[in-house]
Amino acid sequence: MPHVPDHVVGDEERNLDYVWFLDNDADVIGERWFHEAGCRRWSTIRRDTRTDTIQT
Amino acid sequence: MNEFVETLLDLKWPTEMKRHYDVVIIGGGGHGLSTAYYLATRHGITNVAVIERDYIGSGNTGRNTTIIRSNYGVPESVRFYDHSLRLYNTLEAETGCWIMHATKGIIWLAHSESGMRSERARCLLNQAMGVDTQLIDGAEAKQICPQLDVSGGGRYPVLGGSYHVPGASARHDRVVWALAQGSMRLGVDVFQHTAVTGFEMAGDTVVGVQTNKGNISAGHVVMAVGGNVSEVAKHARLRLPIRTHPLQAFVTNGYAQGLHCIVSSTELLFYVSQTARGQLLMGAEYEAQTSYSQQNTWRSFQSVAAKCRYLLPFVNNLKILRQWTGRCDVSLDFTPIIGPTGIDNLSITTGWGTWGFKAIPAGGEQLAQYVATGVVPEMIQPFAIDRFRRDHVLADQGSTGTK
Repeated sequence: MPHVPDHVVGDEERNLDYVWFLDNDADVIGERWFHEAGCRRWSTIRRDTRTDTIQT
Repeated sequence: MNEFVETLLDLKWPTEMKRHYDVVIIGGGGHGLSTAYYLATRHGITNVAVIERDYIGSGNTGRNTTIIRSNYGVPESVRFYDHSLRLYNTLEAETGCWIMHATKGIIWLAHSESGMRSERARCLLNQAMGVDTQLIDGAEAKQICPQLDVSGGGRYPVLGGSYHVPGASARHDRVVWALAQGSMRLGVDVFQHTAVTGFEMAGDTVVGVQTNKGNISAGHVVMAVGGNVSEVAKHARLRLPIRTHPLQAFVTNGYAQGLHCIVSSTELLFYVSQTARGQLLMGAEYEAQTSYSQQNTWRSFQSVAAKCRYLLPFVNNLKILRQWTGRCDVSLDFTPIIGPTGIDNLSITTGWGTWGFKAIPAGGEQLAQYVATGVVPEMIQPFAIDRFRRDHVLADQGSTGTK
């Protein structure tokens, strides 16, 4: 989930940071994926963005 | 061997890293080397180090589809890219290096009324800015590109499109070498296989760069990183409005006839040009998910090949020879980010999104001017990172040629 770092202070600054600024991690990230062609359910997946491997 | 390759052998690679450089540029791709080149040639700043994690031009500069154009959809970008296109026209004469620059013209095809409206708007804006982009119909498209099937295989009929007359292409690695050679002759040090591991900070000011080959003190640091900029920026506790997506491209075997112009479809989302070797160079949209993986996918080949066959049926007889994947740092409004970062002595050039090959000369020239004078040049003021905080985004996804 997107988060705003603690060193960003002030409501407006934190709002802007939330909307525009991203971690864009090269790491394992949590994502919500929708299985459109199959069971049509949402699931939470942990994916390593460096290799596109799914962590169990 | 032609003259240019022979002169390359004279490159003086530095052996020792100095303790201090006036400017340290992170990233030995087109934008990093261009910034070094313009710092050295226009501003006499030659105590400059360019550090590159791999070999120069190994990142996105070596993975793009080498198209140079300025048919953008917002005035700020049209002006900037037109300036870059003009600098490319004279880059061979200026550097004395043959970069295989060729003006070919680009057609952007539309297959629906709404697509035609977009191209009409693009032509009007471009012409108002002095850029030669003309609205064409299907018959005119066929005249410009005789191989085109204007029925679009019966599925994607060509209603027309826009013809960007000054569109060009150049050889990517030669652009890299030309700029590296021009910089190094004037005393710029280029270090390959040197990775940044952190910044040295004094409060909110960057005073140096830590690398796997030792620390360097720096008067100014430029982040000209492609495909990994968010990770490098984290060393300075900086978050960016950037997502990194993989983008694939491939070349086919040689095609004996000439495909003289660059063909692109904004609705089918692919683009194809012919390299100097006769191969067809193709690319399409980037992967929907963010990723740092550089794997190729069968799905991408299938999709690009299928799209291309609708419009250029002769590609049926060609084979895919080589494929590769680059990592695109795409800004959230699809317009580059260039200039100061808000952290003292640290500037950035990123968000070149679906590859900033066309912007290499102007991006380097303008950023060098900022680094040398401390004043952001008027041309790149709209591309400041604080536009997101000021709510002045330059949304122009329709001009990236991809999505």
